[in-house]
Amino acid sequence: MADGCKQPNCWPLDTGCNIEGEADYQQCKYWQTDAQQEDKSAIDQTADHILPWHGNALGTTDLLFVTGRGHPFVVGVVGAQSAGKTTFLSSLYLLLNKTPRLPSRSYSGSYTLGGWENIAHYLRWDGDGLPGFPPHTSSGQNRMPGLLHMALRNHNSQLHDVLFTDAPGEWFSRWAIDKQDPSAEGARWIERFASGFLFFVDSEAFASVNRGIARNDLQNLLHRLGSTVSNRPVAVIWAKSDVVIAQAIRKKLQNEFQNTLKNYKEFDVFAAPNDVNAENRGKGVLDSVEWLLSSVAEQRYPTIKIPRLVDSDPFFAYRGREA
Amino acid sequence: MTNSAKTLLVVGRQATGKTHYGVQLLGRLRQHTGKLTVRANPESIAIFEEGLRVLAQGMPASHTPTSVYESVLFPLQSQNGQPIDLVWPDYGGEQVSNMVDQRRLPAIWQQRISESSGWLLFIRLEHNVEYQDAQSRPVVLDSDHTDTRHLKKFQWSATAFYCELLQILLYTKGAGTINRLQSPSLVILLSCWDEIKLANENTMPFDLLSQRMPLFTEFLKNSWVPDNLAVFGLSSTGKALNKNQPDYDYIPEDEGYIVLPDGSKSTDLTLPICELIEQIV
Repeated sequence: MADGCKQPNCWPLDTGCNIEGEADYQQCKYWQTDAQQEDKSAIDQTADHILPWHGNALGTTDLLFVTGRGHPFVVGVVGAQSAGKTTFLSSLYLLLNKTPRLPSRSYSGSYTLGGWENIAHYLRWDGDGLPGFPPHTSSGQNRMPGLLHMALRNHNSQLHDVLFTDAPGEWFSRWAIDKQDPSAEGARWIERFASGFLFFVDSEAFASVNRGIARNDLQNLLHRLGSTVSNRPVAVIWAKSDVVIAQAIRKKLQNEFQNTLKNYKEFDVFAAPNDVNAENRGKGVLDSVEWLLSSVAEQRYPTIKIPRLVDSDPFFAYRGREA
Repeated sequence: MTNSAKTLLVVGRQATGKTHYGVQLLGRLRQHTGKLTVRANPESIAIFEEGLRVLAQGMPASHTPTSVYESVLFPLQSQNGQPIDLVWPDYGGEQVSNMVDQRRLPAIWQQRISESSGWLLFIRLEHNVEYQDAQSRPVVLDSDHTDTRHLKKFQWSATAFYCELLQILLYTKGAGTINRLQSPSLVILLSCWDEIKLANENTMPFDLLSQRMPLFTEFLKNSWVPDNLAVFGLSSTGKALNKNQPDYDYIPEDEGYIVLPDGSKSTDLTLPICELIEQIV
């Protein structure tokens, strides 16, 4: 039984209203007060075992389930509102559904399949329903971002758990202005725990009449991130890259990245281009995630080089104090 | 039961062909023509009574009611004479769908899963829920167009469903996947093979599964060691049977085939069970 919600797979206190999508979860028809909950548990006396993960985006209650088997990589997905963060994650899942491999690792399960299916479904054809973009991720009153999980096995057969944050853009806008803003708690969570970042630049915004504001907002966010990121890798995602922006603006932004970030790489990404025949759609999605995970792995597991001793007698393999 | 009694867990959603296979398996075992045979006639074959009767008239068995879970004990022996007791269940496949949809396991299923040493999973590819998406079937999307279908209920894709189902089974069994698994062994039966339109008649079942469900297949390859994972094709009745048009010349024991992992066909329907038993003994 979920806290406060009558639905078994919704955890409103952690990740907001999952079922009805209410901005204020207390307005949801499934919301129940503590008193109502006690009544329900008195009736419910089955011996059924309730699974410890609900399949939707993970929150604090069920995060332990994944973190129990090893330290997960947290990928902070950072960007302004409607920059394409959720669409990026949807594309990642759909691409992996066709080619379930990155160059250095491949899919080995997920405890948030419901969460992935939910966001990916917007980009799918369902009966007569046309695909569209995922709706705006609601900011709600959450303490931490929803986390989408994926287990990946690398060439050395090591299993790594990766958690992608799916957070609303408003959190980052507030965080960029005031690091201690009460409504930016989720952004601070990401800043603290992320092993690497996907940083979104909304090409469309830079091609529009609002490009001045877009640049101002991006600078604020970039400098906030730059001040806390230290050497953690940042994949700069030029989202909606099928939209052409002025070369001068692009160059200017690229200079800013160079001055602010230490360990970064740029990627062009478009999920649903106007040119329906474009062949490289989705390419930047897999490339950026591959680069990020490889950079994180390098940092966290530096290769220890031990000089090799070649001798038939195992006794001489002892390296003593030099090793 | 003998000491070597092994319990196989038979897992399949509704209409994936569990009952047909059970009935045909009984027929083959009694004929003593397969690699596996029975040492003695099962004490009770009540659960297949109805299935045997309708199949003998060339009609398909009806849907097993949702709440039913019954089993028959096959006292088997392998080709080298080793005695094995196989508990074969018959149940309404909704019980399996409910595990994923309702995220709860009845106590009796917990027990079955923990006691099992090999799993037989039925997947009927032609009944899979699959979607086309904006990447595979292009659509011109207006950037202002956000989807308004988001409150509508939708079914998970088959890939997500089967990944989650196996994750639930593994969790309940207490089998971690930090390293690839040797136990429990897994045999997947791609059922109703005869209804699949194949470009190449010699397609290997594992390759077909990779083409149709790439993400699920990758999950399998990353979760099991290759020796303890096998995929077979299965056509229990050899062709589609029609409830309204009995085929009076139909002889169940002569019908049905298995597609072996190498793509060749065999009429010995006991082979997938043999494979599973060899892996777990």
